[in-house]
Amino acid sequence: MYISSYLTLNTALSGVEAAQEELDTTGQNITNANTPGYEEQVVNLVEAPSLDIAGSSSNGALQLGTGVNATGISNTGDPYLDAAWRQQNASTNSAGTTQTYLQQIQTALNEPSTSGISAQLSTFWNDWNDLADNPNSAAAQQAVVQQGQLVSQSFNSLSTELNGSDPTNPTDPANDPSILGQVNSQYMATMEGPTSSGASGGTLYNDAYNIASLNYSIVQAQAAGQSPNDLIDQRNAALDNLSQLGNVQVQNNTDGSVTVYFGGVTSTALVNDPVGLPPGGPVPPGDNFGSYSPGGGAPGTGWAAAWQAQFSTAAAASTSASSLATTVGGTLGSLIGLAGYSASGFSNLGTPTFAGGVTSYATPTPATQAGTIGAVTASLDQVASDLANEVNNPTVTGTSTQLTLNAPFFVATSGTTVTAATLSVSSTLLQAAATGINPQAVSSSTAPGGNTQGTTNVQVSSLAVSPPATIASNASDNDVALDEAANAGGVADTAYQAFVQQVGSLAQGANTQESTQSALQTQITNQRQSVEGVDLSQEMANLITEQQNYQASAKVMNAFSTVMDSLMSIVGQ
Amino acid sequence: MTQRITPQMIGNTTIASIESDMNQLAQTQEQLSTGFQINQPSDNPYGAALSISLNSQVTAYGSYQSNVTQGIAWAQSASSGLQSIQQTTQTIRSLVVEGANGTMSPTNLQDSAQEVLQYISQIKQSADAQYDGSYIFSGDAVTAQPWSTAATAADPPSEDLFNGNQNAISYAIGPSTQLQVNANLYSVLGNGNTGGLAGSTSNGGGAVQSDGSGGLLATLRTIYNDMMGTNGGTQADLGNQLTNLDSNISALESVQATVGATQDSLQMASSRLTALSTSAQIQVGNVQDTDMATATVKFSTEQAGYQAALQSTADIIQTSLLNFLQG
Repeated sequence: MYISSYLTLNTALSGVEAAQEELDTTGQNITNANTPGYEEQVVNLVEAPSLDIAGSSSNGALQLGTGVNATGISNTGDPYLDAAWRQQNASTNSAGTTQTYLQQIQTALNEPSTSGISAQLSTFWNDWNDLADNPNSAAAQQAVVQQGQLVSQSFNSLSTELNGSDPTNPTDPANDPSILGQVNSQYMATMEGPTSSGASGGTLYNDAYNIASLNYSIVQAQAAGQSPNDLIDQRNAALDNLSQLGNVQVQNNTDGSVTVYFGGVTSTALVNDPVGLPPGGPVPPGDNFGSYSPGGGAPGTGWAAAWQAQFSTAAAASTSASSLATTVGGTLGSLIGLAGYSASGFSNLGTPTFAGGVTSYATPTPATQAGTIGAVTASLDQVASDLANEVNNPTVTGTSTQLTLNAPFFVATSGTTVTAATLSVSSTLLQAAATGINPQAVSSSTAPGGNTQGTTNVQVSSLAVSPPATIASNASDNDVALDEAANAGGVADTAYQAFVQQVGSLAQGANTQESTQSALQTQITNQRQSVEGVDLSQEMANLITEQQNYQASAKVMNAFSTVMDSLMSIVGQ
Repeated sequence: MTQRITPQMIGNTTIASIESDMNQLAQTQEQLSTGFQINQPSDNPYGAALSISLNSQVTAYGSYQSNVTQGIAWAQSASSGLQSIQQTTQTIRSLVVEGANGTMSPTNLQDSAQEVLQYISQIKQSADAQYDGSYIFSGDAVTAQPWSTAATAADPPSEDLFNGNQNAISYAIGPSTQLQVNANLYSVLGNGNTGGLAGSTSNGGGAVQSDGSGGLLATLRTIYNDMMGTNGGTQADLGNQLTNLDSNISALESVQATVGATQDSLQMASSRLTALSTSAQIQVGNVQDTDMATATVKFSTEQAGYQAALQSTADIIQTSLLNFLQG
């Protein structure tokens, strides 16, 4: 058998072409070194099939190499690292979101400081003490009432800062500046669906739609025999984005698409294999979640329905908010952990349907599993009710004898239970303090023998101890004020200190969690970069090799040309 | 194969460590600039609660201290009121001594009786002493004038009625510590009820009876009657009244002693509160305040670390193989 004279030329040509492709790829790698989601690409080189030449060797057929083939360009992605990174990303974002809101709660407390509730309480007890010193001083009586109201208002405004002005009746969260309102509004912004066909929706919808569209294009490209590395990179970036919002599980399908499970929902995929998708890819709002998901059918079914069902299942099992938060993961998980949930959905808002967009909010149902904000509020309510209880039921110092006030000092502005939101000084006392108190006028009707001058005068007959003491009872006229002043460092003060410590511990925990997760995130990002990233020095080294390869292959052609020239010149003579 | 290190990795790591350096630096700087090592509860949750508790203790000590100051003033007013009553009583006593030795004519005795009336009014004026608008000898009915200052011959018992009560007024002078600051002058003066005590009958050793008889006022009214010879009183009875007067004076002295003891207690409470407050303030400082020396050293160390991180980052990131490949 004879060898073609041009075999060498072809072999050298394949070398030149391969080097050319490698140079292209290196160029691509270098230019995309900082592109999010970009994975380093390598040209897959294999030896070209050899040519068998029979009979020219005693050992049988001679195998002559025919050069190099570039079989494709692949990226260096490692699906396990990707999954690990996304898991970590979800945790990091969850910790970050929790930290942000807890910092806000902590800032709202304004403790320790000289103007927080603790200082106001100290002043309040101090004012009772002054009243005990000067039971018939109008100024001292007014000071007690006004300081009491100031304390009440601080409780009210802290409660409003936490839960909005009326937690049982939320308005549009976008208009609610409270911390719970912000949590609600972030949840809505994440979960919102598009309001009309073709419009974009909330973050989750947009990410999912993005992935579904890329899925479709990738399946099309692979069916046509291409390897759409750039699209896969983009889809990876979209999956990375999605993992900020919650736990992501990715399942690779043979047609090149991915099935994405999200937010702890395992029964229904957020994004499916685009089998049966109409030509042209998904069309919002229905096509990526609703109509071709296993649930199929109307908008709001499919994944959104499964998401909704997750709440009712969790509620039925009395799963705590923090535990559901871990299942969901990411920012959404953190929001659930903060606001709590009920069987009918997140916090005290219903879940909007995906496809319909958010135009109105479902009838509020208070969170049955309280989140962090709910727990903090409950502690604050406890402090407020302790305070009211302590002041309304003064106990004679050193004894267990309780004095009964004719009318309570602290009342609830609505309902019967005193909470941080409803704490107030009784309106009779406020009125008396506002219109000016005339101790002489009152005392002339109560003295002598009134044992409650301190409060009798303020109350205009509503705060007197009952029954009125007689001379024989040996009660002193400042005893109510004296007993109130002795509440300094008592139940309410201790409860408030415990409350501050609780919030502090929560915020400290969130800070620690955040920095730990950030450190882990940096580590795994580096690990991923080490495998998938572009190392410029390496690319430079590659560039030199590839350049030299190219030159060498060209040199082979050159040599072949010289050989042929000499052959031709002989023939020519 | 060694791990590949890409420029992005260096970038990530660098940013993460610079950010953490910055955070620490910012925190130390906050501690230095505010002077507090606990600026949010999360800096040290237990410490924050403790500092709140200690701060309210300091405030409470301050308010006990002001109670004590008020109490001392109250006791001083009481003391000076009692002293002038005592002086007046001594003057009356010498009048009684003069009257009792039988050398005075009835006219002179009647003049003395008028003098006694003046002194009764004077004593009641002293008993109406006020501190900061409150009658200090009126029990806890501090707005009621305890005794009217009237002293005429007619219908003496209604003039000497006590309008106050015997209730104690206590001030808080420490955690669950209360001290009675007012004195019970009624137990000395009574209400002027001379019933059954006219003439030579003993007044019960100076103690005020439940009907208000037996007090100084009753004794003085009886002295007046004895000097005037009215209501069955005679000059001979004056001698007996001397005994009664002496027992009243000794009751007055015992009230004075009580007031003095109250003053002493308050003085002691005051110095104890100062000590307690100081020690609480020191504790607040320990919990809450920044240790400036440590923080400053820490700040410099962190600053140096931060600068080193910046410098090395600038050096490392600048160089790659690219720097050494020349056309």
